[in-house]
Amino acid sequence: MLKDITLGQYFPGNSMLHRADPRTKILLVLVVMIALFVCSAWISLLILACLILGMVYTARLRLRMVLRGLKPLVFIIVFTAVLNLFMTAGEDILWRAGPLSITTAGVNKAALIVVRLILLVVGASLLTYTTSPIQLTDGLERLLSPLKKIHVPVHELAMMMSLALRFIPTLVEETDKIMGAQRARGADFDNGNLLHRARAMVPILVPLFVSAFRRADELATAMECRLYRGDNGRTRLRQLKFGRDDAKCALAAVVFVGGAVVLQLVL
Amino acid sequence: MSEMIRADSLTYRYTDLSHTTHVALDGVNLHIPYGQFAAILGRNGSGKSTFARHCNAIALPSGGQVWVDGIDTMDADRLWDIRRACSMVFQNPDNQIVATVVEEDVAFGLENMGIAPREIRRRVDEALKLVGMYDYRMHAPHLLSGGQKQRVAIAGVLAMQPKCIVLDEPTAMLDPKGRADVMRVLHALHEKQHMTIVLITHHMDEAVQAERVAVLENGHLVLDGTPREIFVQTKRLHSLGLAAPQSVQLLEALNENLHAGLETDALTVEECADRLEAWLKGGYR
Amino acid sequence: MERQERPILDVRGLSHVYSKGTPFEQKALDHVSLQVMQGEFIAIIGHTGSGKSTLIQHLNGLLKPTGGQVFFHGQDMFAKSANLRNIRFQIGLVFQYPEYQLFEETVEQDIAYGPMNMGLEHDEITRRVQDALEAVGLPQDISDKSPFELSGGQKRRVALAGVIAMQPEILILDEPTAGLDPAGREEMFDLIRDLHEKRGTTVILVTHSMEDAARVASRLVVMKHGKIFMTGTPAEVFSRAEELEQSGLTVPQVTKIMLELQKRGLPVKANCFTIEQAMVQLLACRIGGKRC
Repeated sequence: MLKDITLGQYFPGNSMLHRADPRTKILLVLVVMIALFVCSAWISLLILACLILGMVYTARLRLRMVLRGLKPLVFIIVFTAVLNLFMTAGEDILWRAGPLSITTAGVNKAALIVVRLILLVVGASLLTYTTSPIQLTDGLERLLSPLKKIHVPVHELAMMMSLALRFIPTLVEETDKIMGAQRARGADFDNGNLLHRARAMVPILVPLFVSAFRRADELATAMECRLYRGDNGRTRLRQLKFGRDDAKCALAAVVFVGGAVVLQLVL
Repeated sequence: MSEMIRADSLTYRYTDLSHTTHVALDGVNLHIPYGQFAAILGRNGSGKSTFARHCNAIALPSGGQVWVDGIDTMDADRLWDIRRACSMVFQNPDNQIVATVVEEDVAFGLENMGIAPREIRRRVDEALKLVGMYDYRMHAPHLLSGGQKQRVAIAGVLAMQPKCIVLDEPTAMLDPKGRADVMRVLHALHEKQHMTIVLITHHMDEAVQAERVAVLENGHLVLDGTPREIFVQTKRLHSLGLAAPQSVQLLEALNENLHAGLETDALTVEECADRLEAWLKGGYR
Repeated sequence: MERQERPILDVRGLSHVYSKGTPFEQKALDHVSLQVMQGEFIAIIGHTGSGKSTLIQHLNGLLKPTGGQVFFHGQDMFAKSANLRNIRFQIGLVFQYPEYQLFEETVEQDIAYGPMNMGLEHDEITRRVQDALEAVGLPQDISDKSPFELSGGQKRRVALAGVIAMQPEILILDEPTAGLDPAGREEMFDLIRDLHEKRGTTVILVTHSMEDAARVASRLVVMKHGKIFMTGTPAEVFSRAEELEQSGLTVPQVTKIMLELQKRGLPVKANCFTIEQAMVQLLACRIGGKRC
């Protein structure tokens, strides 16, 4: 069933990380990501790993659940690791078979890549796990608002994003319903070759598009009735404010990231 | 001007894709005073939704004039004032909820109006309490029932503190419980907040609860009066594709078949039972 | 009504749990058993969430039970050997707001979608489309039009015709009158009654209106919390009108009036759901009343 797919995985909670301002979280995730690319020393990566796992613990997220989020990326991680394992040139060759060889440097680099990628994904998912989609759009809108000066429609993009988030579940439910109705008229979505299956989608897609346009039209009228006229003069219910939690998060990040980078540079 | 909504010889024409011109409203004169609870009835295509869309300038007259809170809806400069005075709730609750959290949605109109955050908070909470959805303020709208969604939509316009709410078949997609909940909210708004309410519906039992009933047919206003005046006209209603309440039909049937000589203008269960009780005890005068 | 011994549809201990094994687990159907006889007209009534929609989705195999079985002509629908797709052609299901499934360029093509999937001959399909249009009371010249330029009521009829064209033995309709005005509702019920009477189609109507159900169906099935709460002829079910009202189902106004009179100590029965029935009751009471 389509309904079982969860989108924008957010796990509500009341930890320091949950309470922190989305802008803080977005910026910190960026900083940690850059640090992960800069650092290649094991000790630095260890420090960053401590930071990320510490945050997972603070946010009261279960490690197993976080690791399960890596599943779709296993292939990419393994692929990159294997590529590095065989493609890195080096002095001491550990194993050789024809044109393929494994060197100590290769092993080191492959391991490094694996650790980096895992930390990267876990770090980024920390953001989505602890920030509701609406906060995330809000935060992005505020962070990008300087771009309005060069006529980037930041507000409009953010509004589109939040409307999309609002309507995804509605349209998913509708798709389920239309599929059921066409199945009841003998539609067969599961058998036949690719072309056949693509054609079988027409009876779903046409009504879905018609309905989406109708919804969009009605929604636009409803928004106009509620005095929507874009960004001008708009206030917000939820004010974004930096507070103690932001300071704590930032402090932790600065200490750990700083430490990691310094060690990287010194060593 | 003394009316919340005043339509004078309102005519609305539109052209469809095959270039045929239709007349949706034809010389409608309808004045709705401040604080009235009016129901507008009529079969599908009678023009009742088109009328609703004229009440806050989503549609503009092709002929005649509409004043909302004393403002001519053709006055483009005052569109904002018109829409602040008169809000609208639509049939499909899904297609008017904007946000992914209930309270954010209720706040939407206020945010557009540029109200200060603290005042938004106060009004959002107040509106949600009025419609009985305060406990659901942090819920995702798509997980609510139809009736609950519609009450959230009402809270959304209520928070904007309009003088009038126009509802275009707000209960058409709801189950009986959802319908009853929405009607309860509308009555509370009318009685406690003295809100002007214009309810477009084709449920007779809802129209019975209004102070005034107007019936549209083919773009014309054909009946206009109190529910008691309108709903005793069973034959006329039937010819308009509408039905009188069963209480009236029952009393009328007793008169016709048994010459019971009962007054037929009983709209509620209690009124009808009163008359029947008297008749059954043989003491009906 | 001529009834056969063996039911056309036999639901035995049907259960359905949504999202089993997750925190969102929800029991929608709880050991429901129901027999539908050939040529019957039954109505399933209940609140949103009473399980009525879940039940009918099992009846043509769109949902698979988590417990229990459904037999169609004595054959287990969910057995490995059963061909669900063929069963669906014989048990037509019309969803709520079916006009939202229309997708073809012309009305004719849309109605032909089901028959085409059945693999019928071209001539047979044409014949069935014409027949279905007639059954839903639409003129033949509508068939070249785009379904999207029709009125709401016409669209719904086209969607209904799309299912009728498969000539199912059983027709299941989920709230076929939702959103229609009183006249439209009346026409829709006339149409369904015709299908039942003239073509002998077995009809299962799902509704949340006790009034509509009592008017058209010969047997009512009232559902509550995923179980069958009451079942019987309209007169039997309405004899427990007070219970119905207490459980929050809206009974017709005339039933409420009779209940109110009963409450006031008058010797009337409340199992009425039409004006005529109420009149007979009142007359009996008036005559009886004068005597004492």
